Parts: sequence; C-alpha cells; structure tokens
Amino acid sequence: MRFVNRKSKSVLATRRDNKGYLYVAPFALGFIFLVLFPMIQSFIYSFNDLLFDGQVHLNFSGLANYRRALFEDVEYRQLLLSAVRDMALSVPVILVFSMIVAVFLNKNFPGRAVFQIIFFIPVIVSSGIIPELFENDLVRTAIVSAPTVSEEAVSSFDTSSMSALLISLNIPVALVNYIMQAIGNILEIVNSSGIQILVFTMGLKSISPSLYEASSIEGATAWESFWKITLPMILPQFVVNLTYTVIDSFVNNNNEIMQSINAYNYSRFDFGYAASLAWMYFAIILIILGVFVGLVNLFSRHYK
Amino acid sequence: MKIKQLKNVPSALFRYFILIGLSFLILYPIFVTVMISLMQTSDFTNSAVRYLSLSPTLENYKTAAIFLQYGQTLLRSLALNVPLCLLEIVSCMLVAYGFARFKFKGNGILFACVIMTLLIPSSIYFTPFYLSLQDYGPFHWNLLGTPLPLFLMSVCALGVKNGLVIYILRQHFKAYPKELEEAAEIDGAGSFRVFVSIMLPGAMSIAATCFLFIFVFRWTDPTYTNIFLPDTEFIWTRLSNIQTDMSLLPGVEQSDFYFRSILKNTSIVLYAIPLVVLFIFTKRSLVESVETSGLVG
Repeated sequence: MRFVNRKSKSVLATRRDNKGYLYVAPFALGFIFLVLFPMIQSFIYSFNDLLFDGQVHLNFSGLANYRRALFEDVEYRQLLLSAVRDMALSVPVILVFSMIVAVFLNKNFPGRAVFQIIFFIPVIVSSGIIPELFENDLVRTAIVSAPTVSEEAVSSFDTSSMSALLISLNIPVALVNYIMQAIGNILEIVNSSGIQILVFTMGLKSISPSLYEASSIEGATAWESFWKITLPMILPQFVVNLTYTVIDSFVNNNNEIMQSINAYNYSRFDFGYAASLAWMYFAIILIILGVFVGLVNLFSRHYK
Repeated sequence: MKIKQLKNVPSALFRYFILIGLSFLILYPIFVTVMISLMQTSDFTNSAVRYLSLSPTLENYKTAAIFLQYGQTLLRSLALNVPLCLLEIVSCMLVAYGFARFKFKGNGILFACVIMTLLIPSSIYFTPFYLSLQDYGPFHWNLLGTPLPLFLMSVCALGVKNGLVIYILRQHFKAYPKELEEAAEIDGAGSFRVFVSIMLPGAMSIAATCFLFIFVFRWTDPTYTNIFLPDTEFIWTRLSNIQTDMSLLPGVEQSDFYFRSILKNTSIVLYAIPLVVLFIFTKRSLVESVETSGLVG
C-alpha cells in the first residue's frame, strides 16, 4: 500500500472522494460569498474614505487611514500594544494551565465526572455579556472580596516571601514575577480555559493506554512518559487550543480593540477607517499566531 | 500491589487539593450571585449579613421578570436561537463529515479556511456584508432588520465560533475505521446513508456537546443578532439596559445602587436559566463524549 502514490489513485476512489465536495459545499459557498468577497471589499475600503447613504461611495485616499491609525490615533496604538502584550503573556499560561488540569482529570478517580462538569462552567458564565455586567457592580465586588477570618490567616502566607524563596533557588527573576502574576490572575485563567481543558481531555483520552504500560515496563517515570508520550501525542490538540486561545481573547467581541472597531463601524459609521484598523489587527494576530505555531513546530521536530 | 497503592496516596491528595481549590474559584462567584438575588437592600447595610439574607425573598425574581419582560423576551430569543443552533449543528456535522471522510482536492486548503473564519476579526467581513444587505442580490432585497442573514450564515456553518465545532466533529469522524465505511459501500449504501446509519449513532454524544457549545456561544455573544436585528428586544438587550435604564420599574430611584445590584444579579440568574437547563440535559453527553473519544480511535 505504501508504494501506491496519489496519481495512481483509482477512478472509483476519486469519484467517491469527489462526493466530499457536496458535503462541504455549504461552507465553501458561504465562505466565498459571505467571507471572502466581503473581505476583499473591506480591504479596498481600508484604502478609501467611505460615504454611505444607502449606496456606498468610495473616495480613494491611499494609506491615509493607516497613517491616521498609526500616527494620529493615540488610543489605537495603545490598545494594540497592550493587546499584543496581554496576548503574548496570557496564551502560554492558559495553555499550560489547561494542560495540567486535563492531565489531572485524565486519571481515574472518584468524582472525576463532577470536576469535568465544574470545569466546563466557566465557558457558560465567563464569556459574553455576563462578566461585563459584573464589572461595575460595586456592591457585589464588596461582598466577593471582603476579607474573612480564614482569609486573613491565608494572607499571612505572603506571596513576596514565596517569590523570594523561588529567586533564592536561582530561578530567573523575570520568570518568578511571571508565575506570581499568573497566580494573582488565577481566576481569569480558570475562566478562559474551559474549552481548552475539554479539548485536551479529549486528546488525552485518545492516547492508547498500552503506550504508557510499555513505557512503565521499560522503567520510565511518570514525568518522562509525560514528555515522551503525552506531549507529542496531543500536539494537534495543542495547536487547536493555541489558535482557540488567541481567538477567544483577541477576536472576541468583548476585546477592547474589537469594541473600538465596532464603534467606528456601527455608531460612527467611519467604515473605511474601521476597515484599516481591523486589517492591521488581523495582520498582527496572524504574525503572533504564526510565531507560536512556528515554536510548536520547532518543538515537534524534536520528536521526529 | 499494596505498596504501589500507598505510593499513589500523596499524588491523589495533591490532585484533589488542586481540583477542589480551582472548583471553589469557579463556583464561588455563582454562589455570590445567587445569594445576592435573594437579598433585600437593607441586608447590604447590615453588618451581620455577608452571604445569606436575614429574610431571604424571591420577590426580586418577580421584579426582575417584570424588568426583563421575561416571558416575552425569553420566548422571542429562544424562537430565534433554537432554530439557528439546530441549523448550525446539522450543517457543521455534514461539513465535518465531508472534511473527515473524503480526500477530495483542496480539502486541506478549505479546512484552513474553516480555521481562518475563527481567526478573522468579524468586523473585517461583516461591514461590507452588512452594507450590501440593504440592496441584496439580483432582486435588490432589503434584508436589514430581517433574520434572513442570520439564517444564511447558520446554514453555511458560519455562526459564532462554528469553526471550532467543525474541527471537533472532524476529529471525531476521522477516528472511525475505514473498513466500516467500505463494507457499507460494498453493500450498496451511498455516502449519505453511511453518514446516517454508521457515523451518526456513534456521534450523538459529541453532537449534543457541540450543540451545547453552539447554543452557549450564541446566547452569551449576541453581537451578530444585535447588528442584524437592532430594533427587536431580546432578553440580552433588556439585560444590558440595567446599566442605564430602570425606568420601567415604578417607584424605584434611578440612583439606588443597592437595588441595581440586586436587580442585576437576579436578572443574570434568569438570563442563565436556559443555559443551565441545556447544560443539565447535555452534561451526561459532555462527560461521555470525553470518555468515548478514545474508544473509536
């Protein structure tokens, strides 16, 4: 079978495979007409001043929109910088965190199903308009964060002494600060890892247990089998989660940049400018995602 | 054997420690919300009250229901979202089946487009689409203010985050052994028949899970719906109004922020009820689809 190359695929098989077009046709047509054409159009918009009075009037303005975004609009540059920084910092934390939780959930232990359900709850509660409503609810915030007796006892366990301990173990200061910051933001991290945990657990489930058995007979420790078996086997899920994490926080309509783009679009009707903002944002997302995926590929080459 | 079991005790304890701690983080805000929804304004100034009201009341739910125009807006929102989500799950499954089981030319590129739909900021393709709606197609239909564009997007599996659902389903369909399909085809079953009688029975729990995803995504992120149907009042439109407008309720001071908080928390509980109901119905499938994802592989 290995020597049969693509070109000599039988006519019958090709005819069978061509039926696939039928199934993906709704998506393909939708993509062409509802996404691709509008995308091209919006790319044109971004180089124009746009007037809309029932009909679209274009007024070519070259790079003016882009120039305005980068050199005149103080807000956009700042939003962009902070979004990129947040993205670069939070994506690894979320991925590592959801991987750890998924590995924990993968073992057989009583109550596992309950935890699996609990960890899905953030997907329901923490996306969309609910967190926005909680944000400026001062009364609620007061109740949530008022200290209790037990919390006072806990807070005597000072994080600064913890980080001092880690630094004294010759762990780089930047890394320690990063970890400490992640611990401080644990609630946000948990809240944005729901889907990722689920995707990882599904991936982990599909690894054949015999692999682990064989490796433990050979004398591999759990730590070794994690790096040598688990990680390479769930790399596909890793890439999906990576993509999804980037999307979830940065193409999400709650994101500040998305909101400002939407504001230009639907309340200020400055469509040309909004298009240029969106395209720049898209380019940056692609670049960052490309860097991340490149790193994962580099890592996976390690195993081949 | 005994020793090996004993060795596992610390790691099991550690696991429970971490998982219970994280579960607390997740459940605590929900607990607080429900508790606030049972309070009265006087409880906030009473230092003896932290979570549990001195005289718990369900009166808030009545007020919030009036404010949200609950029955009406809930029905309207469900009447729009349920058909949309059903369309989406069907088209996502068919598209995923097509991607998973047929090696046609351009499969890879088209699938990359699926992932791209997730990545593109929606405002890029939305504006031109939106602008063209006023004068759409060869017959110059005015589709603005009608749900038609939403249905069109759902049929094409282009709803909120549908790309993710297609990916998950494709992974699932890919795991079926080729022989099963071939045997059915030799017996004369067409590819659709294979889908219905071989793929579908095994995919029920993952489909239910994906339906939950689709419904949750749509319910909590109504941006699309708001853009296409700006003048229709849905439950989320009423909910976002709490910030600015409590005038619907007679005898309530606009500046009463204690009451505003109670109203907000109560309304959120009401808003989340459909999600909770669906979640209860699908949680079994949620666990099952994780459990069985290994068995077919």
